Amino acid sequence: MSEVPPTRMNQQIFKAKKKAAEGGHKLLKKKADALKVKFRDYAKSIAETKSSMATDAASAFFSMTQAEYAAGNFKRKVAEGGMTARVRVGAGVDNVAGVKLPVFTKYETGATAENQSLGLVGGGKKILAVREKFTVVLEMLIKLASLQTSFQTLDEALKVTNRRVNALENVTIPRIEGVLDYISRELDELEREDFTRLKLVQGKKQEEAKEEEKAKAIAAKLAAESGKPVLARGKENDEDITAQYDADDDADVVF
Amino acid sequence: MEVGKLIAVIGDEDTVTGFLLAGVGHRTADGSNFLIVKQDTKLQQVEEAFQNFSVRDDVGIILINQHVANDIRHILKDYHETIPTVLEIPSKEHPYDPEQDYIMQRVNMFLGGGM
Amino acid sequence: MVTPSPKASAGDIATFNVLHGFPEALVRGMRSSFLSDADYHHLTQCETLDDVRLNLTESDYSDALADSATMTPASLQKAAIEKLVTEFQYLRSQSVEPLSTFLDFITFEYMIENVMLLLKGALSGRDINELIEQCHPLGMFKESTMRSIPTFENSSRGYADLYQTVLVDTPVGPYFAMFLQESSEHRDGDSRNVLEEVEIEIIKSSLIKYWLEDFYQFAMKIGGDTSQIMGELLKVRADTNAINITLNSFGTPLNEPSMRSSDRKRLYPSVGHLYPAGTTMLIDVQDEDELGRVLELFPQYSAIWSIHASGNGDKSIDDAFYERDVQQLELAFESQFHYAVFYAYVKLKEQEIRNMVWVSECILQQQKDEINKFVPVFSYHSPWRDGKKR
Repeated sequence: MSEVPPTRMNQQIFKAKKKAAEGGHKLLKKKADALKVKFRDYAKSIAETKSSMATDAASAFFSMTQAEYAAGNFKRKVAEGGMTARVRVGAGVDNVAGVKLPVFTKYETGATAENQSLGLVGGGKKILAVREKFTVVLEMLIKLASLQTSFQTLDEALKVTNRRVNALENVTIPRIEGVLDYISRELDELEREDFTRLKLVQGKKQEEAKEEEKAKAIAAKLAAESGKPVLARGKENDEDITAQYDADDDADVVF
Repeated sequence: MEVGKLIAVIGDEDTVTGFLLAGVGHRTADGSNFLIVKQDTKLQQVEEAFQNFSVRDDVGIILINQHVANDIRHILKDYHETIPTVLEIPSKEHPYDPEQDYIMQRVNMFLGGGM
Repeated sequence: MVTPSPKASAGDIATFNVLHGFPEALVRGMRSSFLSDADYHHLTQCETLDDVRLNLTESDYSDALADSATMTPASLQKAAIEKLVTEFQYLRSQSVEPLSTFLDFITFEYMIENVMLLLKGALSGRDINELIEQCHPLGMFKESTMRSIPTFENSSRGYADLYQTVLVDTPVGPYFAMFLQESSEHRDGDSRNVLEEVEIEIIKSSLIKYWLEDFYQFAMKIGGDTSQIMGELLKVRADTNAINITLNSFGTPLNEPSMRSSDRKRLYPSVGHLYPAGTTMLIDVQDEDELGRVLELFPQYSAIWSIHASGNGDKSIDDAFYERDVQQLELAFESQFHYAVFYAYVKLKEQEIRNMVWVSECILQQQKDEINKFVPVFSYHSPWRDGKKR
């Protein structure tokens, strides 16, 4: 604080700074609110999706049991052999209040399905049902993955934004205000000093003028009487200064 | 490299089989994008699989059974990347418990706390 | 065909027991090991898998389950299959020709599965020891064969060696050779190419077809009641496969017009009630309506088809086939002086294991509404036995 020279110029600069900080604070607050709204949306859909996922997954697992009953142990065959992913995820980007959110989209590579003839001699239809059920679950999970990454990114962004809002509110703005306070106090002080100085100078000038007049009068007297009263003058003057200063100062304080 | 990222799966036989049937499986000479966790599968294998998937840049999502995730919680705790995303999913034998899911904890805190 | 003719016949009412009386007595004794209606009732009332386990300690499965620490549907299945295999191997060790060959024939079906698993797994570079663990225990090869399989390296060369030196000599090797020969007539290339190109399930279906035909021929040669009863069982099985293959091919490349007359046609067994008139018609079938029209001509299948066609979610065509199988197998089991009883025993036990797994899965996944959708074995409540107490 003290390193800022208390000048009019700096006062102007800091006034501008304060305005900017308050503007920024307002904007960030808006952003935080926007993020919060989104964040709440995401949180809600995550909670919903996760709970419906539990039921969907349970029915998918049960379809597996049904398929196993009908087709025997086909599971070990699924994991054998070479395979190429038919489903991949594309990573897109969504934008919420300037925060980039990763979004996954299901992407079919067009590769041919492996083991299409699973359960050929029995249970094939049941295995088909398993495929379908798990595809549904998978799609839901991809959606959930987007939600979850967005949620985490938003969470992070929200934390940062809140931190900034708080920093502006509690640190930056008070500090600028402090500086402005200091500057205006210093400036006032300077003004008062100037005033006193001026008063002093004025007083002195009046004194001098009086003195001069006196001197002139004396000189005139002397000229008339031809005497030398110069030695007595200094002492008189000293007393006068203090008296005048006190009175002036009091008047000034009111101002 | 191909367009789009893979979905990796770590889980019990039913989970992995199901998602393989749905078409996520990818096996090349370098290895596959799934791990079947059986009763005799060592924890170390699971850890290695997870660490392997999480640094591969062709993996976008890692699906992991919640009960398996609990076994490697110590690693998951220190995992903070957004991509690949780790999704905890239910398994046949262990119904989904939202209490244990980090994301759900956060969600519930947020919704419940009414921030 | 592949297998030599039996050196002796099964014998008739007067001579059957001389050679096969003991194994038959054994298998009849095992009749009492099937879970009863009461057992099933208790099982379906269970809340947890530990309850299931507790209930099973009252049954024949108590010893099999005693060792397993945790109870899961998979561990239950494993223990139950192991129990079945132990019993089967005991029967096999007590039998003499031609029953022993007959029993071997039963295991070929599982061997085919195992060969497919080993070959396909080895082809994609899997650890072969892991693969062996996954094999069906009833279809295990000889000790020496099993031990030699892991010694081959995971390369195309090692793979070719595996096929040429080991698998060809297994009992199912000839089926394989037949498949490869038939395939090479259609496409060029060696066995490796065929294996890589053709889906595992289609190869398996082909091999199963050869096995069915072979088994049928063998049963015919044994003669007597065996050929009659076993022949009927295999015929129906062949028909079931043909119907299923047609039905399940819809929506897959196998249903494309060019594939229909080449690849799909080759999967239809040349035995059964549908053969040859029905299977010829099946070749051109391209959707469910057409399949239904063909099956209408065969009274024994039109009933099953109508269950499927009604679209009722309660019962699928697979359930209908299972129900029919159980009924037939029970009948085969309850008659005497023939070999089909052994086949029936294995198949009925398989159904029972399926049932137990189903019930425990339903309990585990809390799907109590579905829990009774299985086909109990030797149940008093079966539709074909309803109301009749014996």
